[in-house]
Amino acid sequence: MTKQPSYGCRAVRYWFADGLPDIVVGLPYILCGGSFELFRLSAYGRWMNAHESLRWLELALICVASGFLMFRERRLLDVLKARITYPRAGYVQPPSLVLRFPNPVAILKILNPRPPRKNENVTDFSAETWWMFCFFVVTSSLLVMWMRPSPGERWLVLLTMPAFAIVLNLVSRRSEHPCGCLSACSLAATGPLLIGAGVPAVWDPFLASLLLGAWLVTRGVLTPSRFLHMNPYPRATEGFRA
Amino acid sequence: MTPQAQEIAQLDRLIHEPARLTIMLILDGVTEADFLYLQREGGFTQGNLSGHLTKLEEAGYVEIEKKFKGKVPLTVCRLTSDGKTAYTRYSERMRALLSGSSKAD
Repeated sequence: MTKQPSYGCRAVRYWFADGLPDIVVGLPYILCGGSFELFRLSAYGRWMNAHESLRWLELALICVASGFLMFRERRLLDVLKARITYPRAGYVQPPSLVLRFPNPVAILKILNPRPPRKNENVTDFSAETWWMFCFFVVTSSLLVMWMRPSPGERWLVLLTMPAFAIVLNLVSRRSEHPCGCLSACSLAATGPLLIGAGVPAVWDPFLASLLLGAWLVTRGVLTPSRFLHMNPYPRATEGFRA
Repeated sequence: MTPQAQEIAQLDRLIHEPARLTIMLILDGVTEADFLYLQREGGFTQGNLSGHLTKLEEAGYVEIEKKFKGKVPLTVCRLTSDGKTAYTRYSERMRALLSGSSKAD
């Protein structure tokens, strides 16, 4: 007999069922990456010497976006869900978000993904995910800051997307919001785009951020269309409240 | 009367009923949930759920609040501290009883 997920676990899954969390997280990354990509395309020749200041500006923007996600994501999602999700399929509030700072236990979890805890009255997957995204973006930014563009070192940056996809797949495999193999492969496949796009190494994090955001939003947009189809508004007779 | 039978007789009958146990189980796993969510998760009809919630509310196990999320009216239910204590006591007692009987086998 297969073990059924607990009601706490189902409530956490329900939080992700409408795809809105993916969209809300993806959009700031698209804005971060997209604005710099547009800037690069429009002022390529004139601003290429301003690398140092641009790198710091990029890091600051990414920090602001990550901070926004950390502290405002839940509230923003609540507003959206109140209009789209709750009237159709009901409202449930998963327990408070637990912020976890990276620690050795988190690294061990990557090597040995644990099953959902017995006490599932806590949703921390979203916090784990945000930390993963911060880790990904900040690491790739620092990598570019410390290195000087050269063909050999560039490969390190190009490996960021596949490495991130593998880590995300492993960490989330048995969580309430898994990143499936197909989904991880599509994220990893965006890595070669960095080569194909012919972007100078210093701009890689911007493009990586854009690709990550686009992947998240695409994943999110596909989910609500299914969700809305499967969960129409309750009929008038079902609108009665206790 | 055996001690085991005594234990069974002391089970909280209000929680022991399957529908109410389902409601308690759902509410124990979340901070709060609304009527529609409980109805879908537990597979209840409206009248059925409404009746059981009323009984749990009267016993002081569940707190029911009508509020708005945006412009959407919601009937939000959550376990009270009494409800949590009663549910914990019930589940511990059941676990002890069942583990005792399986050891005897």
